[in-house]
Amino acid sequence: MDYLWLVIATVITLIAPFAVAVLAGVDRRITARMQNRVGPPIMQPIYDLMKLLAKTKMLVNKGQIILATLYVTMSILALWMFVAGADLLIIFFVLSAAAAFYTLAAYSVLSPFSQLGATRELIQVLAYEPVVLMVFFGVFLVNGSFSSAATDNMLILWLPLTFAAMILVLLVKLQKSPYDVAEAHTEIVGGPEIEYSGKFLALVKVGHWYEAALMFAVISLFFGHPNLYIAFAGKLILVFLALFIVILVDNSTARLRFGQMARVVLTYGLALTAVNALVVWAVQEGVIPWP
Amino acid sequence: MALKSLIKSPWILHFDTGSCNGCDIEIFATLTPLYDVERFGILNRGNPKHADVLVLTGPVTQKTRSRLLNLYEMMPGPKLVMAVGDCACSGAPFVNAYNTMGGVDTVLPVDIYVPGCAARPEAVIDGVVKALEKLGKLAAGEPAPPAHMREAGDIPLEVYDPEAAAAKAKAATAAAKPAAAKGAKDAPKEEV
Amino acid sequence: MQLIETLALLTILLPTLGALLAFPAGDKARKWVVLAFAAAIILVGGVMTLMFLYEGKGAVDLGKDSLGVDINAWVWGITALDLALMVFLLYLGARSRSIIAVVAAILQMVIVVGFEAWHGFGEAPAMPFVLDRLALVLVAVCCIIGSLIAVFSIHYMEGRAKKGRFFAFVFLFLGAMNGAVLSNELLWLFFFWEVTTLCSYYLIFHDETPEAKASARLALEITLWGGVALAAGIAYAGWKYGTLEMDKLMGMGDLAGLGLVIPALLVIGGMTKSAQVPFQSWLLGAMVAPTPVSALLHSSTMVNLGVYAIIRMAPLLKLYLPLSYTIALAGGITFAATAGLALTQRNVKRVLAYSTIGNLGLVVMCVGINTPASLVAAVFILLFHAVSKGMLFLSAGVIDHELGTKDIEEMGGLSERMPFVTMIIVLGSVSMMLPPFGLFAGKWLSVEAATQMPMLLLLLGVGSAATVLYYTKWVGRLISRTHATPKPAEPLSMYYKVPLGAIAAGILMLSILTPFFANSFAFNMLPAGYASPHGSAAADLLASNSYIWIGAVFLFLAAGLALPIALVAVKDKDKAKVYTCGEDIEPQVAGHYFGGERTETTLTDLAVSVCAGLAIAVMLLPYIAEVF
Repeated sequence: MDYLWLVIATVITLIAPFAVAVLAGVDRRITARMQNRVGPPIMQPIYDLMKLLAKTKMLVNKGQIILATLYVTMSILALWMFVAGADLLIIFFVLSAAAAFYTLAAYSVLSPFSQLGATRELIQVLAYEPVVLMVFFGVFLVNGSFSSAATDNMLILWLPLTFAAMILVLLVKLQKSPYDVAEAHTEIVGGPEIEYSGKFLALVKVGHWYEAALMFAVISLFFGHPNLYIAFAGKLILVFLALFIVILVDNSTARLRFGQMARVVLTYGLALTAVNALVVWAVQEGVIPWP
Repeated sequence: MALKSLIKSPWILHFDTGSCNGCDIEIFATLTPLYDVERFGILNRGNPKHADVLVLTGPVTQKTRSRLLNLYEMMPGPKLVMAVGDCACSGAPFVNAYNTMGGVDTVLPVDIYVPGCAARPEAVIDGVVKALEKLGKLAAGEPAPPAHMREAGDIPLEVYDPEAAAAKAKAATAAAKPAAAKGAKDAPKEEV
Repeated sequence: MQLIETLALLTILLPTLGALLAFPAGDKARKWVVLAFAAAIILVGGVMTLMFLYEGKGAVDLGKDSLGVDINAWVWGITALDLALMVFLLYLGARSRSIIAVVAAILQMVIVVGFEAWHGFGEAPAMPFVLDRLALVLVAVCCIIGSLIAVFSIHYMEGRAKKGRFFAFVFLFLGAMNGAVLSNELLWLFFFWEVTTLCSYYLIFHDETPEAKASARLALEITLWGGVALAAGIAYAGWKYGTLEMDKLMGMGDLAGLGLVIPALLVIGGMTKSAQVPFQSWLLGAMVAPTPVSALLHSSTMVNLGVYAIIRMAPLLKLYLPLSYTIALAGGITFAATAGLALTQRNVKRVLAYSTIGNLGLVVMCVGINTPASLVAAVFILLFHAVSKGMLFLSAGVIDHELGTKDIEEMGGLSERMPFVTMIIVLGSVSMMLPPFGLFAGKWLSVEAATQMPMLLLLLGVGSAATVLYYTKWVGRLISRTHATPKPAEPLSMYYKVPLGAIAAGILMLSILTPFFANSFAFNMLPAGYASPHGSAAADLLASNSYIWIGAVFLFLAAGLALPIALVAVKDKDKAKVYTCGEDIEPQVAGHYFGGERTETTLTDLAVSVCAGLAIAVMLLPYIAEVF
């Protein structure tokens, strides 16, 4: 094991939330422009975070904070493991651990919105986790292994449908319409996040940013090139493209009911990834001739 | 430091304490893309634990008073209170009604008053700008106008006394009678 | 005779003696009998395990020569007892007025007696018992977890009738389970198998309510027919291939073709024992039994006997891969379907029952995939599931005993009323699905293995997500209150705390030792004919590099726990009320059960029809193998 790489991975993990904050700012700006208005400055999420850190301390119970911290540590761990090149499957399980802790934190307060949000969050997990597993399987088929280290394979050419399924997952994970079911702002007032304030809300936000960073890192897996600079530029462009598609869908659709969301994401996600995997297998076995 | 960061990202919680919803509609209009308050970093959070500015309409009816206090307590500091509309500022036509407290500042210390019936979105935005200015002054340590509270009933009441009013009216007609009688003598007699 | 051989035999004989002593004893005396024998069995099992590991053996043959006892006497004894047992089972079937059970019992007798008559009684097997690595895992679990459950039952069964019968059957079962796992001679396996059926019947029957009687009857029916399948397979093996010893059968390559009927029938028998879909209804019904019974028989030990038999058949299944893959598919569908079914349940014991069936389905799936890494995954899941699920059932038993409820919706606020039990449940649930615990390692290996059969990945994904869902739902309900003022916490009896604490410590220790367990133990336990699993990436990671990843997970978990506990000081002024739109009400919340009974019926019907079809396919495939 290359220990220098572990150190680099730690540094990247520490910088990641700032990068995602900028991405979130860009997201809000582009959304604003799509709605024919000016929008906040790109650094707005950082200002939000700083303001939250400066508020007075307020919480409902300590268990909530402990579970929220566990959620954030698991998210950080998942990203660190990804950058350090771990097996995608252990990252998958750490991600589900993070989601479980987030939900438990929401369950630990007796607020109707929090409990509703927690149940919806679980249904969301039921919707996207199998799809993520199948996306990782697609990566396995093309790359030959479950390692998350970057390869030279141009996965997006092999796995376009899987990429589309990943966009679906991204929509769910980033809580974008039509799948922003758990944190359905106008429906259940913030859902699982409702009972956090100040520092602790900032903590949960940073946890969300780490999860988003991981999702974007998975998206960046889809581009590969032997030349380091081209690979880096290509990954960046792919991430922005995915972000743009997500923002576009967010602004053009209305929220689905949670049952509908689970059904749509599961059926379309599993179908797309399964068909893509089948085609890739057929090409690899020589059943379908491909240049 | 806390106040300075609040300037860049004031999140609001809107609560209607019994208004006719006229000001509420104007506030929702302010939050639409047309007026675009998000460029100030303002977000409408539905939940006091996330909010910094409490935007209130309505003259605080007796029933909403306890809920309002609950919400105010649930907001972590530092926080501002903004009273939007005449009813919230001073109670307007409902100031002496038996079921209202007569304005937000009888219950909570108000930082910004935005008058109007209904307060226009431009006025609301102006109010927000003044709030941010106040925060800037507080953050810099300069003197700034304080939050204001008053006793319910500070505004002098004119209670309608029917006997006094009748006496006043009688005196007025009595004063007008000689003048009318004088004028009537010169008038030609009506044909019977 | 060597010490290990003695200890191995003692794991069968000692519990049987305990059963004989516990039955007639008075209450006070019985308590001491149970404690003494439980301690003795743990000691025997523990020492045997440690000696086995220390001497680094692959297997210990308990053959004719090494045992030094008169095996012929044993054969006569077991044959006689077997016949008596089958007659008694017939009587039980008749007493329950179950034609199905009676017919099954008669069929069993016909097959076994007919075969023995043809074969000739009293021919002693060369190697009746074998203690290899796989058997060691199961014997250790049975001895240690089983004894702890017996200790737990001392307090749990207080105030209930017929305790003598209860403890007698619990100990008899422990002995029979060990005997079945150690058996190399198939007819002896059959005998011990049927003894466990008998114990299961009486333990489910224990409360003697109409429900208990009906559930015991259903269990008898299904497991007796499983016994018929087992007997048929064994008789065929003896008739056609002239041997009844498993190790000799494994070496026979000419079993391909019609000979595959043997593993097929044994697999079907194992599936009934492990309550796989379509045979799962008896396990659901068995949840009316006292909770220690559910913990012992229906999660930690007896149901493992079925999948143990299936794991033993793996080398034979490898001879015809379509058969193996059909079984894998059946296991995968069981896993996904039961995970979905567990979502609809409000009764915590039924949730845990469906979870058990699902995890055993996962084991069956791994065996069906039949690669070295998948077999290791099967053993991992088997071991860690047995330990965690036993602990979860015991915790459910404590809640049932102290609070009188099995309904999840009534368990709100348990973290204040019974903090110890809540922590145990949190540990148990987390160890069932999340890293860094052992079951996650098993699931990791099984996902890697499932890339051979991508259809299974879909089932695995849905099943794992649903697993996270129903455990989180349950634990979430435990840590959230439903009333303003909870009742104060009652002190817990030591009979509860010690077993729960011991198993919890065991889970933590085993999980930390996962890489060691993988490297030096699991990877070397594969039967002949399988390459080392060191080719698979996950297996490699588990063995060598995993210290970094698993260590990182432990580190981050510890940090996530320690930092807020240490750094976040909560004063009263910091506490806020929850947001209820400003109202001063005490919210009441309920969980989501995905349609409850209606969904359960639909999903069960779907899963049963598909898996029944697969079971029929399993029976028919040997004939297809013969033709092609």
